[in-house]
Amino acid sequence: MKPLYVVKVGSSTLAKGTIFAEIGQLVEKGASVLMVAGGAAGIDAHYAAIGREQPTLTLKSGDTVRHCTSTEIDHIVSAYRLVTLPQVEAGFSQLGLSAYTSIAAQGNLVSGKANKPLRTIGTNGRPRLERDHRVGVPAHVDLDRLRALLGAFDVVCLSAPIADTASGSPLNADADVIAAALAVATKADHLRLVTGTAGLLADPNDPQSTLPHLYAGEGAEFAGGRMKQKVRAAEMALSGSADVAITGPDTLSQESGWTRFWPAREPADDLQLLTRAAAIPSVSGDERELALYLRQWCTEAGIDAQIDPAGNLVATKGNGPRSLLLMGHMDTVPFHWPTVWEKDLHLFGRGTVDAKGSLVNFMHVLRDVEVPADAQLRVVGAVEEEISSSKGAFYVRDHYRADAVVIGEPSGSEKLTLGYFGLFKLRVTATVASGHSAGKDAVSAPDALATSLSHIRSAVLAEAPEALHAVIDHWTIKSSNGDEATGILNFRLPPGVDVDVVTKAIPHIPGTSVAILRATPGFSNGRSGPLAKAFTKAFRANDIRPRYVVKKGTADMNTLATTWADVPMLAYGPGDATLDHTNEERIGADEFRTANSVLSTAVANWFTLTRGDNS
Amino acid sequence: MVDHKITVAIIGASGYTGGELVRLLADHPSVHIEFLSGERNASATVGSVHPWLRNHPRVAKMRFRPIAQMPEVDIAFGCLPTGALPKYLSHVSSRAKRIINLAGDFRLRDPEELRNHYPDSAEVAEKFTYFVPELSTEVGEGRFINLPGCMAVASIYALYPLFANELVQPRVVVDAKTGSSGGGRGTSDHPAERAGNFRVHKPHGHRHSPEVRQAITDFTGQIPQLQFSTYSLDVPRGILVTGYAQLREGVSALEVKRAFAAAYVGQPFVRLRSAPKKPQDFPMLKAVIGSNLAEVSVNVRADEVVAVCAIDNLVKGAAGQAVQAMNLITGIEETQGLPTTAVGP
Repeated sequence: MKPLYVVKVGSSTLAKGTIFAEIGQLVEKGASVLMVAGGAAGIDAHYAAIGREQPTLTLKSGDTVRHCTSTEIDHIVSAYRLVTLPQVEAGFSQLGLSAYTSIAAQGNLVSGKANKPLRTIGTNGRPRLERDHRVGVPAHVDLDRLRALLGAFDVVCLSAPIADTASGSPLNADADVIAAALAVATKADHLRLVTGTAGLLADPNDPQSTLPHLYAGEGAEFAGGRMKQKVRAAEMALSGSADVAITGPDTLSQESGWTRFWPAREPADDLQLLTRAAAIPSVSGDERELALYLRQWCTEAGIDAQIDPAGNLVATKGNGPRSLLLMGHMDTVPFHWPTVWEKDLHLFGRGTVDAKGSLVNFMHVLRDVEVPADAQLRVVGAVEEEISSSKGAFYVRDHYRADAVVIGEPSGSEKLTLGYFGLFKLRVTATVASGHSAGKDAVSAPDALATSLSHIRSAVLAEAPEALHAVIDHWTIKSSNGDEATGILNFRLPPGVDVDVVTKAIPHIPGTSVAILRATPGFSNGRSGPLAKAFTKAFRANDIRPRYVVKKGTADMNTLATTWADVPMLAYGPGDATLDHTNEERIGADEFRTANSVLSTAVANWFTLTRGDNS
Repeated sequence: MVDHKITVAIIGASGYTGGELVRLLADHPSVHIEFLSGERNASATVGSVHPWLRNHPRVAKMRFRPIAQMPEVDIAFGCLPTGALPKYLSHVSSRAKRIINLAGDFRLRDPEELRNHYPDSAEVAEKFTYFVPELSTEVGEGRFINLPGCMAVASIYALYPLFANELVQPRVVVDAKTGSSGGGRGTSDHPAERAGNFRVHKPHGHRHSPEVRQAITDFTGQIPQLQFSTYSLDVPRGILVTGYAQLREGVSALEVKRAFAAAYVGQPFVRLRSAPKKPQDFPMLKAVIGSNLAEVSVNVRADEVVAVCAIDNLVKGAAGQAVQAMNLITGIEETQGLPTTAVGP
């Protein structure tokens, strides 16, 4: 599933032109982009071209706004169709990208309700109620059509006006507000409101005064003029699941020019990074925005951090020979709801347990623990742990080294995971000649498959009696070779079982073919090495009687273990693992803090216990 | 926009198409039904001829009258069997400002095809505009409009983006499966023989074939080499057409996807099924019956394209299409009075 960015671009930014290449880079990285184009400059140009004066209204506040009468709205539509949208198409076309551009009213892609009559000051200076003002707010998005367009084009670009749900001529609408409505309706992953300044400025006259972080209700006092709508739009979008930022000047990529809007305020400072990391969507394949934010956090904390070629965040303290690797993962399974603190006790949101709680714990420990001169502490936030590619873990396995590893996976703050079962997954296909099922002694393809599965099970279990096993899928098809019945046979192999041995144990069965889909060995440590001892002492120091477990699933530990067999590895992380991947995923503040206390002590213990190993 | 109700006459209102038009216009907020013709059913009530309308508070008691009694109206809808309207045309046109014909009489321009398929129309002098609501851009001040055939229009929806964007080779095969109401009330097909059967209607030579060829040529500038075959389904309503074509060299599946998404994005009554995952996600009769919707999908594997369209032949293929055309021509909101949800199960 591609990550979806909604990017609002004002007309002055469009005119500069550099934004097209930045959006092109998002497309190149595999994102879908829904752009919303502002049209102020285009409308000015169009009115100048047709020699028409732009009517305005004076509001009670003294502000002047464009008067969108039923007649003027036709000219505004023409301005978008003749000036702004062709400019967008040309910008992307030069980059070789396909763009679909349209006013949002087209085919009711976005429709909304007209605003109430506007209170204005007439030319005679007296209050006046202006009824013929075709302006409204978005209320409905045609998701089917929009998804069809997003699936077919590199970029889809919409602009005002929107359709009127009560029919009649289209309604002009603020482009930032359209972008926010689209982000919520499409369940976008990221919303960027690109502006001409470096985000929202505390002092409009000081371009260096960017407000980096805001919560709902905080931005209005700093926003004047057009920036009011941008702040309103950003806060509207917080009801969705996108991470939201006003970015600039005229760019997406200058981190110092970002004002981020956060949906949930952390109850205490030590919960801030957890809260914010959970609020940045990072479904597998879309970890980049979270990696950038964590890298920025590290930079501000004085920690060296980089994003490696696989997309992993790699943050390091110290450069001594004794190295401890804390390896978590940034990605989550898909989700679409905003992050919320429940009574300041639990943080509800995707990834809080699996496994941003663990990763943020690692980041805090990296920041706080003193690393000896002869040692190194490294945190990796890996990509694609939740999908079978395990891209991040494979890159770590092949490009980094460590003397010991702690994997960031939840088992609870009072448990230590000593290892994981391995996964041995087979596709077994039994083929029989067609048309013999009614004959004497005929064996159907499913019957043949059942027999073959039974033989294979017996053979594997003879080598690994403790393995768990199940047929997790099956199907039958007719082909030119005959009738084929196929089953997926899954074994969970206990640590210590050699996958080569069980592979060789698979019997040759005439008429049956076997494909090995996954052969990841299990891995487990004892409790006697320095790493386990470091944790044991840390639990004791925190008055915890720990439980030690070997988990039946697989994790990045299995991937590392395929070549790092001699490196001690454990897994530790806060949170209730039964909430992984569920819609009830939440983590307790106390649980998170306990894990932080245990891990920071354990890491310090490991440095102490391994002192002199390299002397 | 109209500032008064449009008065309409439905010529041939006792047939299936006419009855369906009565059903839709009876509750259209901008229309007043002034007159319903039905020569053989003259003096009978609407409710007695169309039992499904007998409980409507206004139209159920309206009576069919001979065409000769037709008063002056804004629009006359022609719902007569093909070949009948040409005989009454001068009379109807003297009393109606506009005529929208749902039958096939004036769809074809080629004189030979016209003589072959619509011999009664060949000598008529009036020029009719062929009007597909989603594709026709001009009506002008023309008084005479002819709407597409039901299987033809479904085929046009399936093929238009492919030819408009020059994505496929000229050779295209269309098979069109239609329900029994497409044959009209006078069909000789006995229900006992139709039920439980699915059979060929015409492998070659159906009169919608030259119509599809003409429409695709007019709307896209490309001339298809069309093989058009029709089949009879055991359902009262509904048409499912499948078009098979081969991509031109160098054309990608993504370009096909783009063409369909862009072609129908602004069309309220053509819905693209853009990402079907299971069979029920593709266009199907139960998603469109009773509505004015056409569902369309396109699927590409290697260079083979399969485009599918499903419509209700009596609504999107006839009466609903006529109301949609009337709305567009008279400046009424295009969607007014037209159902967008199907009847199920």
